[in-house]
Amino acid sequence: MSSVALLLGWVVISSAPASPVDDDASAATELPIGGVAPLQGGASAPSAPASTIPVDAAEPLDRPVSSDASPASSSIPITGTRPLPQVPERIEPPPDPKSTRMVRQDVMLGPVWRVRPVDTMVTTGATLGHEHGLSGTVHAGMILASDRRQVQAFDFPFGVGAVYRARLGHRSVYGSVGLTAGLLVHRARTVLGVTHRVDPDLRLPLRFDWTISAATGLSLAFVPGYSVRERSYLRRGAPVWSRSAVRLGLVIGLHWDIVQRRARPRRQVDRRRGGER
Amino acid sequence: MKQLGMVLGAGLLALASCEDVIDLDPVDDRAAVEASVRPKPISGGTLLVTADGLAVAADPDRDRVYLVDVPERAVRGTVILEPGDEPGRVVEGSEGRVHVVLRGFGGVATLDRTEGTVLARRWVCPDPRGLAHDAERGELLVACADGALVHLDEATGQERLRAVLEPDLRDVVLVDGQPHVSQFRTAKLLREYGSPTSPRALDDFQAHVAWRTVVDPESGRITMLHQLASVSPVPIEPDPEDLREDEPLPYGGGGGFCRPGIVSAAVTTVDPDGAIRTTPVPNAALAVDMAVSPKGWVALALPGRATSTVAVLPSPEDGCFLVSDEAEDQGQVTAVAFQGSDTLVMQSREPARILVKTDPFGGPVDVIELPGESRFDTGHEIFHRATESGLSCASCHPEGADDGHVWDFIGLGPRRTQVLDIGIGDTAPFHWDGDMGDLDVLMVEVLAHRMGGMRQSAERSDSFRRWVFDQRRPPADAGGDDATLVAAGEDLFVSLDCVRCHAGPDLGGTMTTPVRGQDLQVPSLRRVSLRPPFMHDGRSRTIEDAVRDMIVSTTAFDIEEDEVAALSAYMRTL
Repeated sequence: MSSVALLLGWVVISSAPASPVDDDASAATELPIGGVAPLQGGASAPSAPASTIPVDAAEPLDRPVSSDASPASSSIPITGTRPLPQVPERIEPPPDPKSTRMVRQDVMLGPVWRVRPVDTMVTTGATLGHEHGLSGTVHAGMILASDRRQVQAFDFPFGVGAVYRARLGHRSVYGSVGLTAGLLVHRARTVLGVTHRVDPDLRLPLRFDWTISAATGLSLAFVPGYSVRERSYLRRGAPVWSRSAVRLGLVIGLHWDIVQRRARPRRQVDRRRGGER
Repeated sequence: MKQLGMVLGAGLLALASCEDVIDLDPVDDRAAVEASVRPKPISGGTLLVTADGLAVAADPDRDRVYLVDVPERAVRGTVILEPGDEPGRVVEGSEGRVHVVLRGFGGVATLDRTEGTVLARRWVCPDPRGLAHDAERGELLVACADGALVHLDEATGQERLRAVLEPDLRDVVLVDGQPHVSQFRTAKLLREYGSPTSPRALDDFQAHVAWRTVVDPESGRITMLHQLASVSPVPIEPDPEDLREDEPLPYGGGGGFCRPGIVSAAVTTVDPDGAIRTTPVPNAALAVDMAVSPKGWVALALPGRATSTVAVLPSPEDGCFLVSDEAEDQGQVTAVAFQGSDTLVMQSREPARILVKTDPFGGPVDVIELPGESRFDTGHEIFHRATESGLSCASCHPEGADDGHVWDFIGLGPRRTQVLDIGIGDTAPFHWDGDMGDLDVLMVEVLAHRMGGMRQSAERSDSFRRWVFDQRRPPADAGGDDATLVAAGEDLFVSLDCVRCHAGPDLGGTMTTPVRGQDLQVPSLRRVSLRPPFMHDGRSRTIEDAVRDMIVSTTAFDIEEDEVAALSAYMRTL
């Protein structure tokens, strides 16, 4: 019977800001503008000077439009009030995944294979860094062994490491690959009492996140792990419980971001002057 | 930093190369105890209760005979014998005499039951076992391990007749004045004049180890307590799937209701008309003594069990007996007897006690303490105590010897049980294939893994090893062969270079050598004539067959039949 694993995690990663308009004007000017030009001012009134900034979908004003202008002064007869050009609704600029941060929580389910036996895994973790790019990560979890007649075993893997995240096509789908190193604490209750073992543990998580709404999404992860030592329990010389050092988890679940903010701009060092600018 | 990385890498590699194996078999780490005189393996059947209620209990561990008044629940006297006498079977003689076999001495002692004194000691044979009193002829019959059935004049101790039957005799009983003698390993019932009788064959099981044979003087029915050993293929290691069940797993698997494991006890009755009935007792793998009441009840001594070391069963019938587990442990019972119809008398070897139950199927137990220091011994305990599978070492090595059975081990083929009581201290590696480097390996692989026993602490293993290595019985020395023939056989043994492999003081047991393309441990030839069938797979039924086989297999010589006879005669003296 295949079991499912539950992955419950807190993920702190860089992401787009919740609001596309920043109060900090200087920061706003540094934003790259893609596709839609932000308005520097409102739509011009007839008496207002024409804007020099082109506005998508709006006809530029060649000359001032004034209701009290003399007909003699104009070669164009004015037959009535001309409607103002339509100004498109303000469109949020896309987040810059390299410069924003957030905290994400997720819950995932899936099986964990350790050669033949299929166990159940619950993990929790956190990643600190950028949504796109390299981040640090920590994780902890529990693997519940399925065959519990003679050996009631739990494994507790935990570790720290790094993940690299990148957007995959659609801007709401990200993939990440990571490498963590830590320990796997094995605890089992048997006829001999409680047994503990500690082994080095490595993980190579390959994860896909699909953000459905602003702060919530689905996650799928393949989590290969390696805890160095095979482990067997023997009764009368025959193995009654054994696990390989290699494991493969396939977990799926939900995530939701609980903190998002733009990263501070990186200070650039003027090496010629030996100071900051 | 680089050095730290190298250290961590080396550590990871070292860990990756090892497997974390956790053995769930519990370890017995109780303190080891060695008695000042280490007790012999249990032989059972050391209790006699006379018609007037006198219990005569021979104590081979303390070399004593106790006289106990059962109705009064009191010790009437203690007869101190010589150290090493090892008293065994007891029979009531005439004129207030009691006769006791002295296995260590090699003879019989006659006691005055009233005075509690030794009237006479007489040497009979190297390893006397069974004893019967023929009141009509006024003689004692002594059955010896070497095959001699010796008739002694009860009054004078003079030898009247020495008949050589087959080796490995055990008990002797009289039916209409005709001696019937049991053979220990084969569980045959021999007659001094006539063909032997064997327990009824059961599917997949073979009868062995006739622990006790008694006769009902009224009906002439002979009842034998013996063992059954499986002839089916036996897996050496337990099946992990079977181990996942909560039930204890017998050695070799199987077992169950009315289905013996690879070894179990059985009771066979032989009626005067020749009718034979064998009733298995599946959950009793080590039953060393039996008593039959006038009502037909059968009491068994089960010293391997932690509780209920005595079982009382109704009359043997078709089907099986099952021993119930009762939380009653008044000692390690090794002998049982009935006083009258209902009173069950039991002898505990440790602590030394006589136990009396007026209601064999229940009721209180009266305890009569016997004098003498403790003979509790860790080695003895490990050897006899039943494991999870129900077996103990003594199940296949009764009396510290062997059961004579040829097992069909899956992956190994046929293997005859090896003998232990010839002094195996210098015979490592053990087992026919020499795959057990020392006794510690053997204890883990055989006692713990195959049999389901507890692993032993180093201290207890050492104690067990010393006890096992101490076991050594005297040479067989049948004495039935011509001395000239024996001498010729000894010369042939040397000239045919048999000593090349059968070397050392025990004539073997020190090397592994190829035989018929198979590396096998060379067995010691001590007491070899007592343990047919011969060879590692039991293919030789007689000592003569074994001699021919070895000459053909291991030498380039041609051998004549008279030379075979000479070599065989020599073998019977070892």
